[in-house]
Amino acid sequence: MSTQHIRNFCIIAHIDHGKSTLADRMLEKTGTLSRVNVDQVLDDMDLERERGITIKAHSVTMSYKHTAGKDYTLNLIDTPGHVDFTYEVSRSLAACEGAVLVVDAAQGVEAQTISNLYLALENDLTIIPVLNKVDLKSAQVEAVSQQVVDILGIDKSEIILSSAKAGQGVDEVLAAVVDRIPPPADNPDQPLRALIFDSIFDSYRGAIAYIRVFEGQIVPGMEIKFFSTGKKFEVAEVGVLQLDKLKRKKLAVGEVGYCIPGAKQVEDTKVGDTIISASNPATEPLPGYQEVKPMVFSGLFPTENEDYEELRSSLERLKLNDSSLMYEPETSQALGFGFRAGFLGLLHMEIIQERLEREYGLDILTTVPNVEYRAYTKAGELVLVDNPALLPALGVLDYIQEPYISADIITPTEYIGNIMKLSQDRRGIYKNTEYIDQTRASLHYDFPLAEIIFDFYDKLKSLTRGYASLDYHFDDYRRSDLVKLDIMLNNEPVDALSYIIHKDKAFEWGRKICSKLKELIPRQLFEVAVQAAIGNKIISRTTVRALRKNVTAKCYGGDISRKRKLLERQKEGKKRMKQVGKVELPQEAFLAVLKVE
Amino acid sequence: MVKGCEPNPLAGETATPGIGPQQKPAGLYIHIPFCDIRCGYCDFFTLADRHEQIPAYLSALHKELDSYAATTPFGQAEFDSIFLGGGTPSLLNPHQVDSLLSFIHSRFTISVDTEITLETNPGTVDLAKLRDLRSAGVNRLSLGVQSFRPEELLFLDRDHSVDDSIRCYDHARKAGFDNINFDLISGLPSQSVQEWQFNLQTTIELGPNHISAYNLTFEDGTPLTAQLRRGVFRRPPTETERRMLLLTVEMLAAHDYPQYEISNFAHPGATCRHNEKYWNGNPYLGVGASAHSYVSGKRFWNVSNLKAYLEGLEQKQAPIAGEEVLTNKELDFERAYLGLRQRSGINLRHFEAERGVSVFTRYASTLHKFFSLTFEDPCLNEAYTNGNRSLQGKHLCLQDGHLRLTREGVLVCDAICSEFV
Repeated sequence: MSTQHIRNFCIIAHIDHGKSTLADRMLEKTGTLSRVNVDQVLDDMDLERERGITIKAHSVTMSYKHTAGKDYTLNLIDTPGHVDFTYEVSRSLAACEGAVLVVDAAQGVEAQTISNLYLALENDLTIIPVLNKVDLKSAQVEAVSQQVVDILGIDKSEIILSSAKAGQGVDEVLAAVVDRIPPPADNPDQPLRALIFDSIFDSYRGAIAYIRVFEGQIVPGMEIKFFSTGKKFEVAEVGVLQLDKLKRKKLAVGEVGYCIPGAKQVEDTKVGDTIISASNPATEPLPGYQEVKPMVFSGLFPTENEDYEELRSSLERLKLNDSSLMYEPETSQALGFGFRAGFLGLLHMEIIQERLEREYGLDILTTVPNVEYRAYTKAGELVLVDNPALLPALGVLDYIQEPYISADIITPTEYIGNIMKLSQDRRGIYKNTEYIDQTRASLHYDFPLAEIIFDFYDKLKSLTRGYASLDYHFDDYRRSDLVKLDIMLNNEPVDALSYIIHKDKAFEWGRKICSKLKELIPRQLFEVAVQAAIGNKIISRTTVRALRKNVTAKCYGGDISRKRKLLERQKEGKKRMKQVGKVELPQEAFLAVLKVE
Repeated sequence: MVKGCEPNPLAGETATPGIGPQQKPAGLYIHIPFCDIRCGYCDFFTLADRHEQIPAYLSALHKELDSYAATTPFGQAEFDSIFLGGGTPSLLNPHQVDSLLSFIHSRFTISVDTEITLETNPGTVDLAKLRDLRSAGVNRLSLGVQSFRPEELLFLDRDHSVDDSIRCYDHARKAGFDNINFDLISGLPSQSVQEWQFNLQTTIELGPNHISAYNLTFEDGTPLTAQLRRGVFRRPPTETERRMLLLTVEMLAAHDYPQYEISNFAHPGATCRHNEKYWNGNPYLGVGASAHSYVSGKRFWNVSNLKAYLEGLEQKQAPIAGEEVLTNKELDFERAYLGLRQRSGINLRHFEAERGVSVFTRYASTLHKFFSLTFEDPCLNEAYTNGNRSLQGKHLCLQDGHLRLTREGVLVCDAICSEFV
């Protein structure tokens, strides 16, 4: 069978522009799913639904009868919608021949519209532009159409107007998928090469790889090899996805589906890797594979020291289905035994944290996230610093490099001033401005990653009334004038509160962090001196005064049990805090840096 | 309690609990829930305007007392304190008190020198009634004075005047009461330290034998707490409460009323024997609605409902609402926290004898923390084993075989006690 009847495509859009709704309508129109099913079926994790974002990409196979009468198989490959997951998006795009580009007719082109579009163009995809939500009162069909024409350099007539919510334009989009997107290249006789564009972990079946077959075919029983690791497995099952897994005898060239290789962890089925035949191996992998590299690091500590082993086993289980999670044991003087974990970004970190708490019932304490620095000693030695505590001492240290990202900010022109000011505060290096049309511009900046991982996006949103959008990707490491700011409580440094910061900001931050900690540390039996220091130099100091009065009167016959329980509860409250020397620190204290204005 | 750790007249007097010939006598508490009005701050089980039920209630008390007299352990116990609390037990007429006390004497073993306390509201008694109560056997009066400032009495919903209190005290002395307590409440909203000082000064001039000075506690479910939450008034600043407590301790000590428990002050020899039973883990039997009892590590309590109480006894059923058997950990903690709340502190020898573990072993890390010692430091062990050595911390001191709060420690007693959980 040839590949003429197959179309592989994805939908790309800025967040909330209607990607999931359009996908749902396509599933309905093709009869893959009836309208009664839960909305937005492609996102099947609770967390995803709550946060309104797609975290893991999945695919779905639809049968479609074209208006011309022929039957087609359409494979829709979903893409994650957050900047933390750019690599995963690019691998999903690589599995397709075309992309439906959805733009909100009211919002217009946004940063992710463009970054996703560029990713799609890098993968040589055919683009089908769709203007969604045209029925909204605030829709600016003309203006936004012009934006699309300008960025794509296409004819306006190619744009499909739709309202996915109302079902309008969905048929046109389906027809265009068949008419405009080319079928997959037909290479049935070559040795197997299949791209893993996603993988998940199933507690019964082990790792499940979502794949696109580019050459050859994959059948159960066949011995396969993963190109990047060289590991061999025997295929247990293949099939296609129609919400549920549908077993097939094989996946042939051009087809999209799943493969269960009998691997015990998703570490073995790396996104972007190429599956080849063990007996007749292809010599080259498919292009574009990268080892996933964490960008943000943070310490994870159990609130109760005795939960350490449980945290370890929970991380092991999370790692089974999230190969981008990295961790290694860490010992903190203040917090005891825990782990230093690496994440793709802050969102990824929050998701892991929440999953540990919700799915594994753990009470964990996260330290302030940081990026990975490169410290060079005077002896010329390179030290990778993913934990401020590891920074070489001042006498030994020569200089430090920090990761920079290159950012695109799309904004209505009236907010350019605000954004420039914010960017300057965040040590941004201005590159240039491009005007999308008369009212919207795209600002290009380089930023130290450390300056944008916390609240940059929130700040950007609030300074532009929610209109600006941001997209960024890692650029390179650059030398910066950075220092380590230590926090001391009663003259004892608390390693978990140390923080690497630019020299020019250190004094003000030291002062703000001290006063924030003063707010967060409750009064206790002993006075607590809070100091910020760089090396041996104290740059700021505040004091949390000791409790002045904490005694209740009356303790007679009936009060004794009641009072005992009250005191027990008082003790419970203290237990939730972390004992650092004599000081009881509430969990929020470890994230005080994040709360500094 | 002017200084951290002066020798205490009570040191060594801490009792060993239990019931039996060689053990400490028990206390008997009788709850009389009736009141003329209900005060806004009160969270005891009380009933206003139900006086017609008093006879039925007294006969139910007889039945309940009877049931304990016939059984172990209280039937065999010796009692040396009886406390009529409430409510307003002084609403009972002298005859009712007399027959209640006679009944108790006829059913239980009551020591010759038993302390018999009656809680009395100043507005409810005159000289004649006080004479009759004294004749009935009551030998200690606890007067609910609360304040000597009219506006404060009004705020507290008290239905007596300042004059009533002074007159009542005078009559009580005339009637032959030589052991009298004043209840006082400090820390009222907008009360100044000077205003509280006036109450203390007036009290000192009158000269009761014992003073219970409470910081106003906002208990859940009281009208006063509801008003506080609605923002009708605000609590005094912590600093004011702290100064009031310090002033109380200093002023009363200067007039020979050393503090012997967080809220209790007495001339030497006039401490309240009944309350000390609560604090020292001695057995006590509580009868009447809502009353609590304790014996051998078990605490149980009666229903807080008049109808249920009366009907239960009518049907010969114990009106018990609940019980708890204390775990070893809870027993350790109660000994520790109740000990620390007293001037005598935790008697280390008694604790070990009673609990089978030394304070030093049981609370090693807590003690090291409070005395800023490392575990290698032999100091604590020396002070523990050698009575002549002492250790002084900011909040605790260890001296002559007792662990006590310092004056600063008294002010943050709850935060310290919770470390002994």
